[in-house]
Amino acid sequence: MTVDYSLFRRRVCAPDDLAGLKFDVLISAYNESERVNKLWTSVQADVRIWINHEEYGFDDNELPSAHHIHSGLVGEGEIQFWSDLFSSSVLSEVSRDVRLAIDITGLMRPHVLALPLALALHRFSNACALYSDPSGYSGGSGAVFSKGPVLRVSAVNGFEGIHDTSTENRDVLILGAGYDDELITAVAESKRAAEQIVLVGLPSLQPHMYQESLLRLHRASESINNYSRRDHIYAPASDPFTTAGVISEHITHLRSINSDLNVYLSPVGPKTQVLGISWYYLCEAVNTSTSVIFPYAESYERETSKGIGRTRIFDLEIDLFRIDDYL
Amino acid sequence: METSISPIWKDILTMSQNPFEITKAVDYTDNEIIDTFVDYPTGGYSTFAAPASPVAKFLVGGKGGGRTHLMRYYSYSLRKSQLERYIDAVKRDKYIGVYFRCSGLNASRFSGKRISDDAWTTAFNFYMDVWLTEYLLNTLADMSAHDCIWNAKQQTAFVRAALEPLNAAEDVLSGKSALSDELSIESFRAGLAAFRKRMDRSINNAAINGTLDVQILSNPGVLLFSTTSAAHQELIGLQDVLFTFLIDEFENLDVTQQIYINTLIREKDRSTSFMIGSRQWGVRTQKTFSAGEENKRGSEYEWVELEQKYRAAKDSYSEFCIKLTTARLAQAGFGDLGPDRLKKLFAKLPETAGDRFGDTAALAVLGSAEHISRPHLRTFHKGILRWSDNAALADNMIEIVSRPRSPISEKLALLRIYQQWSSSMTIDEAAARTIAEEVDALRDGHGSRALVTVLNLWKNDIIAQLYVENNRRPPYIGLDRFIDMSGYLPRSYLTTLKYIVQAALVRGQVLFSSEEPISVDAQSAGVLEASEWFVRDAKPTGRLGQDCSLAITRLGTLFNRVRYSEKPPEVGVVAFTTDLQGIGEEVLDVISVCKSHGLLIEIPSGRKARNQGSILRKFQLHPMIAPKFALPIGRRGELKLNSDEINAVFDPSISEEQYATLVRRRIAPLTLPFGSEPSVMSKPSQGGLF
Repeated sequence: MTVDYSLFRRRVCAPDDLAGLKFDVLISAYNESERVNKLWTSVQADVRIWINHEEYGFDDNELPSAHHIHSGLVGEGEIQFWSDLFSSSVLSEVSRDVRLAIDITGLMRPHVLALPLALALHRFSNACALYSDPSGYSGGSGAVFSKGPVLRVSAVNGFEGIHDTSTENRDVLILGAGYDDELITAVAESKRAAEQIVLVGLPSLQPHMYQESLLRLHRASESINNYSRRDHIYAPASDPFTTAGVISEHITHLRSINSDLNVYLSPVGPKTQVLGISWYYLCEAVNTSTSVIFPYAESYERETSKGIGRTRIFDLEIDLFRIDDYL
Repeated sequence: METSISPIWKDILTMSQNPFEITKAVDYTDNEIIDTFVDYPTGGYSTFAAPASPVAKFLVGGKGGGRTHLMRYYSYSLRKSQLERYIDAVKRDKYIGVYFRCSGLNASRFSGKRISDDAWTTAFNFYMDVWLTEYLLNTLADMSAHDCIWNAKQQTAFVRAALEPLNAAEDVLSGKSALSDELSIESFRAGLAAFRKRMDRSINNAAINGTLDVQILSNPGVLLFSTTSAAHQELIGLQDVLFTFLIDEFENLDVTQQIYINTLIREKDRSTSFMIGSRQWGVRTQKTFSAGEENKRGSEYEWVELEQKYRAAKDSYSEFCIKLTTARLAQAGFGDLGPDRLKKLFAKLPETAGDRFGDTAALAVLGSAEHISRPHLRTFHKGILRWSDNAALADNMIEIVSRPRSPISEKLALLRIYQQWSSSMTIDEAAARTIAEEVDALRDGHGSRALVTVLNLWKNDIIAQLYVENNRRPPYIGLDRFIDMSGYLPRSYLTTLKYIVQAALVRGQVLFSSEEPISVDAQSAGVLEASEWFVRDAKPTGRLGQDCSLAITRLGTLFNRVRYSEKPPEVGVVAFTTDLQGIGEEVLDVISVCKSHGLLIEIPSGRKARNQGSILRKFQLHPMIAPKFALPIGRRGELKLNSDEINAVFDPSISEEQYATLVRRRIAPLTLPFGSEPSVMSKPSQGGLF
């Protein structure tokens, strides 16, 4: 591991203390979850921007009208999406040292993934990512998240690697798993030949969620190569930086055995885990034989969780990244 | 015994003991591929899929047909180590199998990013030339390093000849050193890889910097074919060797990307061949970039459907499956079991001497409950009462058919009575008595030939009904049935065995012991789990996948309702015929995708001209799906579905309510009282047996 991920700052905030948080700009993706709306109404911010993801299927008249709304389309590149937002009239004149907070709770996963890179490309130096735990998911282990079909599995723009063709190489897929077995299946099937390793959130966001996620994982087990014979790897579901560290350590170990390894990461678990995979990639994997792939679903449920637990705040030190690698 | 156990514990309990745990070739190492490879009986795979053939082949079929196993078996990395010198293995085989998977290309990178489609097509074509050539050079470099057979002069000549058609490309691609004029396969490989990685970077970053800056050095195919041709000319030992590119997972390429491969197939020279592995639906086009020409089957390529080859020789397929099983068991330390011993390791339904009807098993299903409360007798009684309100008639009829020691006799008699009731629209005590007596005679060994035929035809459905009426799932047992169920997909067969073994293990059974065959319960439970897996696994992704899933559920439910009606119109209905008249494009798409993904099988013999020349097409629900809906594995009868019924099943915009109404209408003539009006024999109810 070349980066000490334990040094990145993270803190937690109880629901009653949210009103004490103050930012210049707050960005959040609109859906009907209590944890998204409670944070939106509690946190103080001078500028507020709702993101409207087409995947939630809101009509114009269902969207909140009081604030700026930035809409995204299914299948649109995430980097382009963020670039359009950061170049929009609301944000283009804003100082790049602004106190910017992005609530990732309701964001689509590929947008969470692309967020730190997009911030870096637009020369933001710092930002806070917020994530509110649910008390539980509606339907428990049967909760439905992606409700539309998976349209395609593809590499996420900005997270495409440079892979090797050696005759001896073997692909490795690290599946950041959560509750959505349809997404897990789609990813596993798209890399059928890869050695597939499942990253499970442990400790989970709530104690019962670990068991529930394993039950969901089992539904995809026939699509996951050698599922029963291989141990999972674990990282806390609530901590992107530790997740990044766990992935880094594991990949370093795998590459010490086979340097020709092509690695695919697929974050289909909690948004914090997605952020962790993004963080690892940007810290260590740009222009290596590592890609992030994602199963793009047509639509998602607007409300999947119950209640709101703690809100986690992650300081994103964007100025660490060397974006010259991309240019 | 029904066992309730968490699926997670099932995995933990059974994973290390299950010889069928691995069902996919991708899970095997190269050595395991060799160890578990079973060649196809009657001539071997090379009779229809020879890798040393100069004619390109599309090896297509359903998921789990064995393509990847076969293509990996043909690959250089497996073949090379069979002889001391790799070149000798290649010369023996007369080909070098350069294997790669299209999923490794991450082909979705070559689109979008606000770059024009034309620019992407040009970039992809040259990128693929470089990619394929790099794979070829990896192989040649490996051979060169291991065998040390090509000297510096030969290698330099090879690299120069390969790059000669690409003007001024030598400096860019050959990896040559400033210190020497000598070139080598390894330097060429490294130079090309470095060039390809620069392309990768530009392609990947196009989304960020808005430009696609790749250097195109030649037209499609030029680099690849000049390299194979140069290897033929300059590298000793390869003159009579074919370079066969084994391109697996072709379905991962989009139409334009497939056109590139088709163009290579069309324009290849004699030193090169292609074997393309793809799911049936994954071959999207036969177009080429060669003046818009399309490749023609039988001319530019051969089309090999593995399932069709298996289907054409059913016995050979069975033999193949048995060999797969015995090879796995031998590998797992269960010794060398012959086919006969193997089949005995799976329990049958209980039998007693002289039990020609299967009553022993039927009585076991019915348990110790009072015979008069048997569900089929209660249904009969209620049906008569509902139709006639005549309790005495109902009681008499029960007395006529009732055979406490032979439930199958009762069921057979009832089937005949229902058939008669349905056609005559009335119920006749005397006729019922005659039927019951004929059934008795048959049970005693001297029934009419006609009734023997009826019993043989209907026995499986009757037994299945008995199970379902008593809230049990019908049994699916026996190795031959599992083979039939696989629908000529070996992976489906192995997956069925995997789940059966898993079910046996969690029931605490000893595996593959002649003293304790795998129980009927474990076999049936495993089959059901395999069936559910197949439906999940076979359905495509995307909107059509959901539509197919709904259609298959509706079709299976319709067949189920027919099979478990009082008077099914035909034996073992798992197929339907349709003239497809009046069916919209969207519905036809769903049927077509169900077929291409193996959820439905089209029966070629189903085409018959009727109704002024209209063509009937016949489709069977895949046998792997049948157990999920408690249907028979084998196809016998079929339903003719009209356009409304086809739409109700295959049109996702039809509501569940509309579908249910249509099913009720279709089933009404098959269920008591078959649409008949009350008989003149009706009398007021006088109480009765039930």
